[in-house]
Amino acid sequence: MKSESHRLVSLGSPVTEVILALGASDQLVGIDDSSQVPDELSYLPKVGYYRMVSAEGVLSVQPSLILSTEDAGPPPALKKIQAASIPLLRVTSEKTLSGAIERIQEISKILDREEQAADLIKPLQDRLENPFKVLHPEVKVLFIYARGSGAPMVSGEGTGADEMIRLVGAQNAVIGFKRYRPLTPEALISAAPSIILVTTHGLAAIGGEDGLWALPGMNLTPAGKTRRFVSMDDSTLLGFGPHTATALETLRKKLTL
Amino acid sequence: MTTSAIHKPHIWWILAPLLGITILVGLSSGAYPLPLSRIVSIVLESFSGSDVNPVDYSVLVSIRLPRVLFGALAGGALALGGVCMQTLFRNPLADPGLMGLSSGAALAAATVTLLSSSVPLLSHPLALPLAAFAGGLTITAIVYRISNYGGRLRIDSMLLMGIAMNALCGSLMGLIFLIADDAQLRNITFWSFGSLGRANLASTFFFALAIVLPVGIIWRFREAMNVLLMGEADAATLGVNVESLKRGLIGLSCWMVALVVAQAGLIGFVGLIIPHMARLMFGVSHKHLIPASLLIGAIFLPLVDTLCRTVVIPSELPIGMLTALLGSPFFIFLLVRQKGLI
Amino acid sequence: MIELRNVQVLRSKRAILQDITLRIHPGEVSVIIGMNGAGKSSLVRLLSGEWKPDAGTLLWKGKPLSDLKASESATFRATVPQQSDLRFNFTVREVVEMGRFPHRKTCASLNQKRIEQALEDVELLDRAESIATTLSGGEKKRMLLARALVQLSEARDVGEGILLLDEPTAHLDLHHQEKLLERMRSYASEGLTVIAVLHDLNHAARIADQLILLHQGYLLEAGPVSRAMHPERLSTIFGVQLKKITLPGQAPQWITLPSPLSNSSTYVKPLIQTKAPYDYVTST
Repeated sequence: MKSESHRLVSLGSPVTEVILALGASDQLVGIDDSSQVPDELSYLPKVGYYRMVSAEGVLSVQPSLILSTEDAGPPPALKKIQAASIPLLRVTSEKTLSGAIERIQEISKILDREEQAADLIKPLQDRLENPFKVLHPEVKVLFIYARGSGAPMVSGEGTGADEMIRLVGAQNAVIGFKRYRPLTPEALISAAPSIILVTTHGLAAIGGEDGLWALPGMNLTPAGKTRRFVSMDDSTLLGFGPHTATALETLRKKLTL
Repeated sequence: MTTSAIHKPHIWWILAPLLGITILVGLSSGAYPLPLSRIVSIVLESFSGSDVNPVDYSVLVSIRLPRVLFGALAGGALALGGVCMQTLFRNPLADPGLMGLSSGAALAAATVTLLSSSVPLLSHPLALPLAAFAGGLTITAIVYRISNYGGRLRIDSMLLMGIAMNALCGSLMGLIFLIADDAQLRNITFWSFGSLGRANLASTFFFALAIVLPVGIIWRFREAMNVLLMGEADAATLGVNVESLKRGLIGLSCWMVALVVAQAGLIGFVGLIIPHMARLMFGVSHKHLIPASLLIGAIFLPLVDTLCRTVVIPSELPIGMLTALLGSPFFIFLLVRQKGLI
Repeated sequence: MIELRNVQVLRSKRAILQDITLRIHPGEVSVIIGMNGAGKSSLVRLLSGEWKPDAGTLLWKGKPLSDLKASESATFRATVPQQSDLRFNFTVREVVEMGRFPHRKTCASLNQKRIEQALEDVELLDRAESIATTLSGGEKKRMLLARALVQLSEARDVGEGILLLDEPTAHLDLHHQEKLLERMRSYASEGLTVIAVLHDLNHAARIADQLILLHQGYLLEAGPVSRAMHPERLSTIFGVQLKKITLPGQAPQWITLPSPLSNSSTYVKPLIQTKAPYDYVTST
């Protein structure tokens, strides 16, 4: 692609983050509901939740290029956008360091910002090649994910939280299953985590610190007895992007306090 | 006392132009700037062979046209489904959802959404609509089979079974909600609320083909449906094949509604509101009720969809949410009014 | 002619009609009488085709009635039900028009003529455009009669047809009761088979050519009034004292005396063996 200015629509917060980090925010004409942008960009129209965009809504901002995560949708809407001859680039939504690197590479290539990309990729590449040493004695971290209603969930293998815990040299307190499961008191006690990891939104959803330690079974866990927990912003912790190298360092520090 | 209807012969004179206006309004409204004048010039340009802006053309032909056309067909189909159910249950408050069709379809769709990450086959774009269609009809078939005994289809039994099935599907949905992660949950919810935006020209065409015959057969039943409203015993003495008619009404209406649900998700209350409006305007005889419901439904749904597409530009409201918002107070009003009359 | 041979009707394993053997002739008024629960309505449902015999045969002109499809038999057999359960706002005309369903292939103008004629017969022409649910009980009855009449139009043209009436005089004021009884006689004289359930014994006595007395599912009597209306038996069955009074120059009248008998539900064994069909002489 020539170095030209695009009219970009970004679907998915990982993609938006990369576009902003590459300094291409002036090319954005539309973002999805879940993307976070600084106040100066709050004028950008929101075209819907990234999994359920409106085809006409996207087209109405006259984009010349759509960048989206691979799980953006719905498929019929994306087909209609492509039928209007608007190019669509889908990048992986993998929640890993290499996934983040791939996203930066692909987006920077199409935006012709490969120089800027190199600066973003380097810290991630470094961390990938030189991972944190596994903590001794082992630190068992349990990530609790709470929605507004419904029981809190814990994350097993194949989740972003699991990856972050692994990358930072700790152990996921719950193993043997994929994705999310509801938290039960017995599972909590047998997992015996020494530290609880939560997002700021998730913590608020279970009633803050008090709510956290009041969860049934919590007082019988090492984390509950010592009241050790780490809270981080949702997208900082779970959005794998240019900031993740820093996020990992912060997390490592907090775990080794 | 007053007659039961006004404007009986004028169904077509009033409704057909309204339908035309609805289609034009639908085609010219939306987030993308494409007013009627532009549409006319696009049509002229494409006939004269000159170049048309591809985005304009695409928005008109791939996005708006199928949406409006499918909306009209689906609105008519849902309305006619409501008429059939109300005649079958001899109650103006009946709706195809009573037989568990919506909850069965929603359950099937939720299951597919839940399993599609582990079963690649289920990620196929046709998997969800097919599952919803099959799920809706399966639950209906179960309700039917259990209520069909002693050589007769028991309508009151169907009502109770429908309630039971709705409850069963609801609890299974609850289970799915428990297991599903955030993304799956949002997918399921969004699908449930319904959207006409999933239709394209091809699927709209197939939908039209699939409902032509059912509509025709129901139209042929119109006199028998009138007679059925006097009660099954009376209808039998008047020569109606009551069991065959009941089977036909259930099968045809559930077929049509299941097709709508498969393509567009759950859009409720249309089958309830539209026949009622049609009765108020054109009388209770099916000779007028059937075409009036078809037309009013064909006008109503695209209009509501136009609202959905224009009130929160560039995003859009799910249509099921809006029909529920409009329909529930109307339903309550009907209930209260009916009690008052008795 | 309608013929029943040893007909039995079961419901929940109970026999509500037992061993009915009976002939009903065209051109006559046959009246079914009996206590509540005797099986009167059940017999009507059997004759109207709603129920089928669980044992025995039901013949019309020598052939089993069940051989005919509903659409066929509806062209010559009509029922005026005890009540109608209409929940929608049809006009009176539209309800009567439903009687044309078996003949819906007929042209519209002829249909309308028949409907108008029937409405006139029952004196409801001025209410033709009213909503049926707003009619009084008696007016609804007359509307249903009109519906039956239009259903039988073609049959009446050739002097045939079956007209079933289930408690037709209920809710009617005296004027219309008399008119109805007159009409029933005139329809019979046209050649129709008129079968009615009546609860008023006087009415039954007046117009019946054949009286059908049912009790607890059994057929106790089927014959002309003079023979079938036996004061003592009727008193026992109905649990009231009945007396027959003959006023000079008038048909005999039955009156009920004030002292009800103590045992109105005594089981009464069938007094007539009804195994073989029999003939009888019509009274004047």
